[in-house]
Amino acid sequence: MNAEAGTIDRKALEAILNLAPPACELAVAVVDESSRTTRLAESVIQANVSVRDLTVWLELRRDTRSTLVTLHSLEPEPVKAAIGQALRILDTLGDGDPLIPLESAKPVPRIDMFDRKTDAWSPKQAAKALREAVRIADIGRLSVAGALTLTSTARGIAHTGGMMLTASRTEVDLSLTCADPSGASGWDRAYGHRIGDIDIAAVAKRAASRAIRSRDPVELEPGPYTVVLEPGAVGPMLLFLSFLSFGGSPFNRGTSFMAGHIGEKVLPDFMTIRDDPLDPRMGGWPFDFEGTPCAPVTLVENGVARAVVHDRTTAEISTGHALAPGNGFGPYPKCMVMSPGETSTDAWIAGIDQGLLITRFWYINYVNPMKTMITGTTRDGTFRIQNGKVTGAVRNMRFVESILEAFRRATAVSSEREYFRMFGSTMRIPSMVIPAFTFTEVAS
Amino acid sequence: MDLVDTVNMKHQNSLMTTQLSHDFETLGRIALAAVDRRGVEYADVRMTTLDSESVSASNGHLDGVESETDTGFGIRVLYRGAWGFAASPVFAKSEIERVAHAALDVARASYRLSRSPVRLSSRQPVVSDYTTPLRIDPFSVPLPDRIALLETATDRAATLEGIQSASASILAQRHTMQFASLDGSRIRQTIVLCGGGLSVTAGQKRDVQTRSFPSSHGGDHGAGGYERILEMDLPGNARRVAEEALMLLSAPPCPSGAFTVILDGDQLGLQIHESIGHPLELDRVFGAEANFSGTSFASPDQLGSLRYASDIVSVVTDPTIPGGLGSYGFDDDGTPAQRVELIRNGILVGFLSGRETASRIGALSSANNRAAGWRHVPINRMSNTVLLPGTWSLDDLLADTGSGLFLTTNRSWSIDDRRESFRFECEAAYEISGGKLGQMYRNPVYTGRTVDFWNRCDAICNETHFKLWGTPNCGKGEPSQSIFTSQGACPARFRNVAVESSAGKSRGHGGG
Repeated sequence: MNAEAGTIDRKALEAILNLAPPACELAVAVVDESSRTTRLAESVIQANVSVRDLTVWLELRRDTRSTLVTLHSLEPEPVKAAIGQALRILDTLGDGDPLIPLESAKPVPRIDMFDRKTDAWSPKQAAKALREAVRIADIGRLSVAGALTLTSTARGIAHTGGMMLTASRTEVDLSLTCADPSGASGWDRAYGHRIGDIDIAAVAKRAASRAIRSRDPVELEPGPYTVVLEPGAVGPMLLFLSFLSFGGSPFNRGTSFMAGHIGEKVLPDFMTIRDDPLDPRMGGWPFDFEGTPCAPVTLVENGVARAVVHDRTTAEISTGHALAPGNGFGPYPKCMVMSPGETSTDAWIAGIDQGLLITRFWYINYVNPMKTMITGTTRDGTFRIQNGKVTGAVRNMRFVESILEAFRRATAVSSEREYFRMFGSTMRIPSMVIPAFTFTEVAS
Repeated sequence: MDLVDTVNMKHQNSLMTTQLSHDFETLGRIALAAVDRRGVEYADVRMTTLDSESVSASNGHLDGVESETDTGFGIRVLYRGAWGFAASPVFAKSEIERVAHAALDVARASYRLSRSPVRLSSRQPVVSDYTTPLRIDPFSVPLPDRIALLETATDRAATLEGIQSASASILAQRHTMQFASLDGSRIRQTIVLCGGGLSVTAGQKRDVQTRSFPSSHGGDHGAGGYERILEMDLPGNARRVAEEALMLLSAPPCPSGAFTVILDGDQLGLQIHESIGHPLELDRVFGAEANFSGTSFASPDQLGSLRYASDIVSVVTDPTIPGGLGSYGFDDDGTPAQRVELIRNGILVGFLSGRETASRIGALSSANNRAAGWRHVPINRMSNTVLLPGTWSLDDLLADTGSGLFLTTNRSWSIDDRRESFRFECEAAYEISGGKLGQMYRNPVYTGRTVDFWNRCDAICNETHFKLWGTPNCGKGEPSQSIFTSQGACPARFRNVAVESSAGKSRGHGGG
């Protein structure tokens, strides 16, 4: 029997390290995850799953050779077989460049990220809670789709050089889409590390409200529009910008817009972006997959480029941002917080004569990564602003924009912020006002 | 070649030939016994084992060798018309019983919000097995041979002046999938996947161009053995691919305008995937993905009437074709693989379905309910989605076209959530002039609206150009599942397509 979900058994890690072959170093990373997802579609539970998952990465190192073997068990026999497989691979390899030494053990910060109530939340409780979302959708004669996922995760990092770290966290992710038969739809989401952080009724009401307001959309000519991007639209742009520019790999390659400009003004004065893995609500960890303690990093401060994040392959001093072994992607910030402005979104809308209010972007992909140019479409809530008021729905449109140029043109961010989760990253972000945002086609 | 006659696989429908592992016999018995006769209408248990080995190299040097083993089981329960699912990688009697009871508890919780009970389309219980046909087991090929092949290929590409980097990889996977259901099915499948590719980038820092072979986004993968890698001949193609990357660097931007376009097979494969495969997933049509992947412009009431494409376009889903990433013997409902028509002479005639969604339109399952491993619940997925070949040789088609653009190898793509419109970028375009390929252009983009675009198709190349193009990363579902699919395509011609350069518009000379 493996460790109980929610904790990593240190004895199990020690037992693995004791299997290290002579003259070899062995590094172990373990993620033990228990997730419960209740998925709604057409206002009923369409899928309801409870999954215990366990991933074990073994890095075996000898002289200048190393290899990575992944398995999904802590049982002795599979682990022995995996180490045997790693040894056979090592014997096959030729000598390579000197390996980066294993991280030395350092004190790590303590964060209270594990909520027992969330860990114990049952499918029955989830169904009962989601009944409220269905009731709200019913009132608006809407159907509701969505997913409530509660996850308890334990992480353990150990190596034969004396490292032994474990930590646990819980998280809750909810997103809901309400729709009517005409196709009008509205979306909203919430994220936190405790079930108590999530107000299912409030999320459902916002999604339903957007769906109702999305009825009878008008088609607008593509072209440049002043946009108010809500967090569901700002979030994907910030995340793609971080892929391209806030990690050590693109910085070292010189493809990041930050490269060669540390200490220089790169964004508007009101933009401060930090990575804060130590805020429990951001879904971070106290240490990374190399065992380096995590710490907040200021990426951009009042528009001035300050730093990017690193692991031990991209810099001599890691900032504690190593991803899971074998990711092939390199470090990037996964807990970004953008500082708020001083004025509410509604107040900014009141000052716009002609523009668009965008709830969410969809299917973003690169057009020209070197120019941070991306494309995507609006979805689940695209509205027209006329004379300071939101006046009605607009058909979805495709945009093509440089994230960097759009952020540089931004005139304001809102005083309110929301938590936004995407691709395993959490962001806390305000709405943003951007003039001359380029739409190229009507999408749907 | 008649695809149907030559590729249909024979399943060995004999109890004697079905070798379920001893462990699975025990697991299945414990799991199904734990939920049987407790108000459960249907239950199944799947145990999957993935063995994976990947090798990668760049610029003549090995990057790494990674291997993975992933074994676990999932139990699915239909209780009073409501689904429950639970899964675990831990094989112990107590854990199997816990997971079975958890699946039942989850189904009972689902029942609390049930409005109309889930019904399953009928299928006969099956006792059978299926194994991928292959010539060379990729796991039997010595690691040094695989490493040497990649080092040679990337070295040949990287040593050309102006090349920034060349990278290549080989992936081998063996999926052992065992299935038992309360109604008596017992299925074992061993599916071997193999593939790889080469990617070469020319230029410096922010002014770069990339060329890939045989396809982009990691190369091309399919069911089969190491013979797939040998047939690719990555070392033999490396220099040509590098030269093309260098040519792209100095090539002019793709002209803008309305053009007659011939899409190469690899790009057309992704076009089929995104604008025919996804919109015809029946769970998506019914709204199962409304919160995530999106919905569809297509609906069951359009069956037999929607002119989806021009009358030369016929599309089938067919997991019985060997060699695809969607080639299998049975889906994860235990439905035998079969060829099902989706578009016949341009008219919508079918959807991709599983037993649950098929029952909602009074049809039988198309055997497209698939899960990305033990930890996931099956959902409607593509298998091999095939645009049936036409009659043209590519040379004749180019000659007939006269002037236009030939677009090859996907670089980027984006599609709206109802699949009504799309935007694709390719690595390279070639001018078609005087009936032959000419000037190379960089950064080509084409856009369109799905039904309008497919109705502009007026020529499809013949079966000698046919290939199944693998997509190893098709995402869908909550929790998100990434699964393997293939698309069968030959180059095809489309009239009056909107084309531009992703770096900005330049004046074109039409041809449309």
